Amino acid sequence: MPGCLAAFPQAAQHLFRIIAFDWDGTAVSDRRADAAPVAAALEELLELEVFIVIVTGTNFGNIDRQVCSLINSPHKRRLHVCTNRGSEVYGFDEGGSPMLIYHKEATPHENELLDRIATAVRQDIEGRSRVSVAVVFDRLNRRKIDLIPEWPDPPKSQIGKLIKKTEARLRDGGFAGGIHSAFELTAYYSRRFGLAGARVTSDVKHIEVGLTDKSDSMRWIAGELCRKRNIPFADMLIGGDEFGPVAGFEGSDFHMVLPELAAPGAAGPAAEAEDWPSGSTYISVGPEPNGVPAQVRYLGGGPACFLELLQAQIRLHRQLLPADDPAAVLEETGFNHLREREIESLLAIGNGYLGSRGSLAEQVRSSAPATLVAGLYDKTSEESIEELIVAPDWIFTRITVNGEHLYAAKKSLLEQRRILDLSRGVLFREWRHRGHDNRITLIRFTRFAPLADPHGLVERVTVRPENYRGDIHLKTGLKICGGCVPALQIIEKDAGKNGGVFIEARTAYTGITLVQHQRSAAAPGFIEPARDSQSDDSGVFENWRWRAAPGQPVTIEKYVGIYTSRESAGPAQEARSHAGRLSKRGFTGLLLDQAEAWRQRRAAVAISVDDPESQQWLNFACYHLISAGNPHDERISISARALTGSIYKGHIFWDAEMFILPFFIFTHPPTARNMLMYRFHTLSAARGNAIKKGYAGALFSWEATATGADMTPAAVLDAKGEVVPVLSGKLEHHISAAVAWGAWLYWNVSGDDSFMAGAGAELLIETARFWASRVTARDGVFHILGVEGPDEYHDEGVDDNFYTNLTARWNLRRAAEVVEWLKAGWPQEWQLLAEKLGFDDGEPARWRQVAAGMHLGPAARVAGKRAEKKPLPAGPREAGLTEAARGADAKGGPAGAPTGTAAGVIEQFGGYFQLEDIDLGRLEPRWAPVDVLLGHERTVASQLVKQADVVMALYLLEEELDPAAVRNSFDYYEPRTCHGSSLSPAIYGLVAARLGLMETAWHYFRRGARIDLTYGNAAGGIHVAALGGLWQQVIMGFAGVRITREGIYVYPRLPGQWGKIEFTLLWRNMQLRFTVRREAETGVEIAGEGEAKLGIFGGRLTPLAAGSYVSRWGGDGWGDFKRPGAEPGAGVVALPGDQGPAGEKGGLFDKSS
Amino acid sequence: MINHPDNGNYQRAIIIPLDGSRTAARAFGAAEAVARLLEASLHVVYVGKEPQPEEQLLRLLNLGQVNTKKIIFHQPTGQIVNAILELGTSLDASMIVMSSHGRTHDAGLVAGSVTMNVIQQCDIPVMVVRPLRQGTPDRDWQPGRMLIPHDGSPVTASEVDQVFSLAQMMGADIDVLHVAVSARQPVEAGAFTGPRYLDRPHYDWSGWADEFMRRFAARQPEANIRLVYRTGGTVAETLAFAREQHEDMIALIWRGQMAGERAATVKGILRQTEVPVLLKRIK
Repeated sequence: MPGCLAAFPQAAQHLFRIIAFDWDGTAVSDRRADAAPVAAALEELLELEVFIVIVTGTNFGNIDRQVCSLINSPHKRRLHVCTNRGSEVYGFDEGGSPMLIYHKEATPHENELLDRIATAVRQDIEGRSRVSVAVVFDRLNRRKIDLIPEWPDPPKSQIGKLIKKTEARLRDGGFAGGIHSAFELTAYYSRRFGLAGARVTSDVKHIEVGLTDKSDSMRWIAGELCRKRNIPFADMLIGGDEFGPVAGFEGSDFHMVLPELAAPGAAGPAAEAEDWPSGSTYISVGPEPNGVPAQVRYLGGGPACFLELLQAQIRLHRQLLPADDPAAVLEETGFNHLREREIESLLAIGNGYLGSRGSLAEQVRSSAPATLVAGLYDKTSEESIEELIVAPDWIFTRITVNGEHLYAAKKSLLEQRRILDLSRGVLFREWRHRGHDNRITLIRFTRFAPLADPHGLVERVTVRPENYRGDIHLKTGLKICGGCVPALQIIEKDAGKNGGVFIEARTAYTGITLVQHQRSAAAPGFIEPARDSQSDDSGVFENWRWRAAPGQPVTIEKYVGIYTSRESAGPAQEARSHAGRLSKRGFTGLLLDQAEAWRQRRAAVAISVDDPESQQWLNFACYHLISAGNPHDERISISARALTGSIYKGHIFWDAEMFILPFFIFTHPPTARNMLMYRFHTLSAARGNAIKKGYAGALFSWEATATGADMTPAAVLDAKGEVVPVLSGKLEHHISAAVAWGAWLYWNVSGDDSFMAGAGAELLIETARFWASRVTARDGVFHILGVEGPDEYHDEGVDDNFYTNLTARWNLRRAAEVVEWLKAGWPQEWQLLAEKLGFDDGEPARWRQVAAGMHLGPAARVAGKRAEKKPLPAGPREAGLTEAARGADAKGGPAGAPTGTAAGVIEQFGGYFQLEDIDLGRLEPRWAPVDVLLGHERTVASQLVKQADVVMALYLLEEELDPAAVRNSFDYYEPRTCHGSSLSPAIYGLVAARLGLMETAWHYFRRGARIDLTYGNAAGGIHVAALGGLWQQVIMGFAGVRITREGIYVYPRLPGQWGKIEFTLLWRNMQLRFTVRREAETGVEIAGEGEAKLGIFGGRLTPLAAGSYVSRWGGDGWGDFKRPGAEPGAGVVALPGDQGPAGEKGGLFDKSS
Repeated sequence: MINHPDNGNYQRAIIIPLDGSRTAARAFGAAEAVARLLEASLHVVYVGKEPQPEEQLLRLLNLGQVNTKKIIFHQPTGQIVNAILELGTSLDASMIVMSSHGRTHDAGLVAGSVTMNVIQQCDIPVMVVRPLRQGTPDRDWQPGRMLIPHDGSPVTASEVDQVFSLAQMMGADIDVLHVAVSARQPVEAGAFTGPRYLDRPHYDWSGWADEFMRRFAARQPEANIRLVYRTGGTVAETLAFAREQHEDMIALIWRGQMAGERAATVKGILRQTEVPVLLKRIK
């Protein structure tokens, strides 16, 4: 029934909290109709806290039999039935049994009058004509004069026919005035016999005279539901089928149209939106042959239309509530003050521009609320490092009942549920508090940071006393963080002007102005809270005060605009007008916008597995990744804890490119581009780093803020309270290759040539220049000495870290290729760039020479006790590199440069194999970092590895390594890796999946997925890079995605716990939607212009236009992608490891756990 | 009237049970010192067959020269442990100070039977003094540092505020020692032990310490407090740390059950400690 909704789009936009309607003809066609569909819809609405009121002329028994008996919900107490034309109201108790809650009983005198009137009308009609009519006397408070007794129960749908037949019957029988005269006659006798206020109505078949009509039902609803529950008339939908005149008199449903309900302004102090009337909404779904009154919207369509409206309301209500799917939410129940800061991180909301921890609004002592804004850094002194500062706390709301502050505490907490909707970025909290004198208060919060509107923050608070009448005070505002360091300097506070309150503040050293402007409003209702505002040293606040009775909710909505001088020359004005715009749009509209924005973003990710627990982990990962992404600002990137906590001071590490960036490259390229442009904008700082150390090109800072300057502290206190130097800032140079890798991957996947022709090329060239200057030549072999690889246990400077050398070599080669590409295809851009960079045409040759001569490991030398017990696996070849990788620079470099390892295991750095080989298994199970258990000195002198180092290289540059070396090296390093970094498990899981070690891969997937979700790890903020790693494990590992310049390969290998996985990737403006069924088929739906070159890894690429394709499992490998139904090709590509789990060796952990 | 903080004339009370032995009397100096530091009255309890005149009692208790004006003597009769506990309750005592051993001194036992029963049944903090250690506290004792091992469990956290408060009243700085037991994985909701991941150790350690203290020392006392992380065995690490850092006392929060294999940490520390041990039983 799209026409029905099209005529009344508000059914899908405006939340109705009361739906009152006529039954017969509106909700069902007649009393014999199957009411099950409408009963199901009503039951759902009751559960959604909508009051349902059936307004009918008939008695309760008829309605109960047809519909009420079908509703068994515990929420049935919100169902009411107004029967007998306004004379009775039925409700339902907790057990669902009906209760008569209102009853009007005629006095004997009134009954006598009614009898006399009906009898007089009958006698009059029959006396002056041949028409015989019947009188129904046994009705409560009314009598019915049946004008057409021979048609006992005419359906409403035949109203036209009924009019004709009745009129004909009366006329033919000599009663020329017809129905209208019968109506007037009834009114006449009512007046004549002195029945004051008699209600005369007609449904054509009958003329009824009574003491009440449907207007009495509506008055009951207005008083008992609207006023007593503080529900504005505007939130009431009233449906019927007979509003318009019939046979010359008002339709029976017109009695539901009360002036006080329909009139604008009747609903309370303010309308929700300018284009929405503040009175109740009347709709008619009936035939209405003579049109409808002005107060009523005509829809037509009958009960089917009405049902469609109910279903639209259900969808709308559901959109404003947490998702039903348990995998799509993260729920915390109760209150445990010990876990509070951890929960705050997990439940943080954000939109890339800002993040806000999921703290309790009333700020309990165990809370650490923080709102962080991307790029808003400051420091405590000229010499100190920059860190993210905490903005005034916008979530602060304190509720006081009769002078008692309400706050979460075990003794007063009856219930508490906090639900983060991972699919929509909305945090819900429902809290029942028991206070003094056993006062019970229900408080609901809904909070979100609009994804598509990054400068806004929105919260709604509803307070409902359950069992008391009391004075309620809600104080909400912007609270200055008293103990935060660095502290903001408050420039101006305003409480009262400009329709809200605001704070303008400035950072001390970085000179950034921050403005937050709050507007709050009471939702329309009969209770009109009084508002005032205040400003003091702790912040600026709006106070709302009201008196409420049991069951009367009052809702305060809060809108905050937030701007800094980084984005605007006039942040104060921007913040103010932004808060105004949010307020005008209104909470419901903003929440619907939020749902739509998230739906679009999630559609570009669309990762799903058929295991609910895994699905929730992935939803959690994607939620925080999307929340961290900032497509609005290319001068900042994503910190290692995003904007969910301050523990890493908001610093940006290599995590950004290696762990977080790929997610955005494949799902939201604008965010990915911004992350890389941030590196481009900070090139001058990176050049400065290189110059300071005596090198050329660009060395990116290990820890950076908006400026790109190195923010790594020189020294810190360690666990024993001793001052120790921090060497990562000095030695982890591999970050420059990470930036180059990110730029290359983005270019390959997005096809954004304009990026590579400008910023991208500059990043690659400057990083290549760094590596070319960073090497030390010895006998024609190039070494990188004195660095720290990703494995930070060996942090005192190692030589020839394999990962660093390999990625540096890759960086040098890619830069040389890009120069050629630019010269050939973008000559003007190249000329400009070459001039800008002072480019020497001999540089690419030098890069190739260095790459070709790069030292990549001596022959493996194994030392240590353990190695004697477990010899290194014998490799099939001498070196760990592929022929192609070795020969790539044959023209440019010296022959015979040492590459790879003997015995097929790559050495992590020079001399690594000579270190003590400690059996990590002897320390397991453990719950403490290995370097703490063993001590730093012993750890440094051992082969124990903190995190993926060689294994990181196995992932990133697999194509440059011999497959046997990949397997042997993984087997070697896996039992020696302590996973002391959250970045480690996902990479091991990824490589394990590519090797077909599925139990190992699953073990690491589970471990990586739970890093934040267990044991307080997240108190300082969530590990967004680990979550990015988790996504990579699924896509690059389980799905086996590999990227080349030419195209994209997959080779899915799913763990035994999953039967199916679906995911979406963006590839050069095309969308690739994959569906993998384990060891059965891999389907892909390609959408977009052009062709995507797609293949099974190990096989060939095939150009595929938009459409569906499938690759089938051939028993030990995957076939080529073909159109569904096409003959499977002969070729099946099989990778090592598809022989099944037998290939899995015993490892360090119990993989079955 | 019951001695209670809500009453206007409330007076803190310290109890020292004595049995007339020299070993029990070795704790008297500590009791005097604690009473002085807490500005409390000192109550000596002796459970005998019949009450003794004060002069005779002083001789019996081996207390030497003491200022009897500052001491209140109690001589109940009956079961000794019950008498001590009842007095503690009636006085709402802040602490019981007692020697680990009394008249029937058996150095092979962790503590004598009276001490063992008192510490297992008493909700009041009990300071246990090893009588044969060199340098047992005298009346001028001024503890400078109190060591509190904390296993990161919520139950320990539930009592730590009272211990902090005592340290603060005695003017002692506080060292909270978390010994991460290698194989132990926390299972209780809210439990918190050593950091599992140290992506950036220079931030993660301070972040861990901050979280640990916020979790378990929400009401930080007005005393210098520091958190130290170690690995290894709890007893050995605690005693080693106490020696290295010249701790003046060790405070242990425990479950109050000594039977069998239980309370290995308490037993181990009581056996080997060189400083008084303050025991606070979890209610």
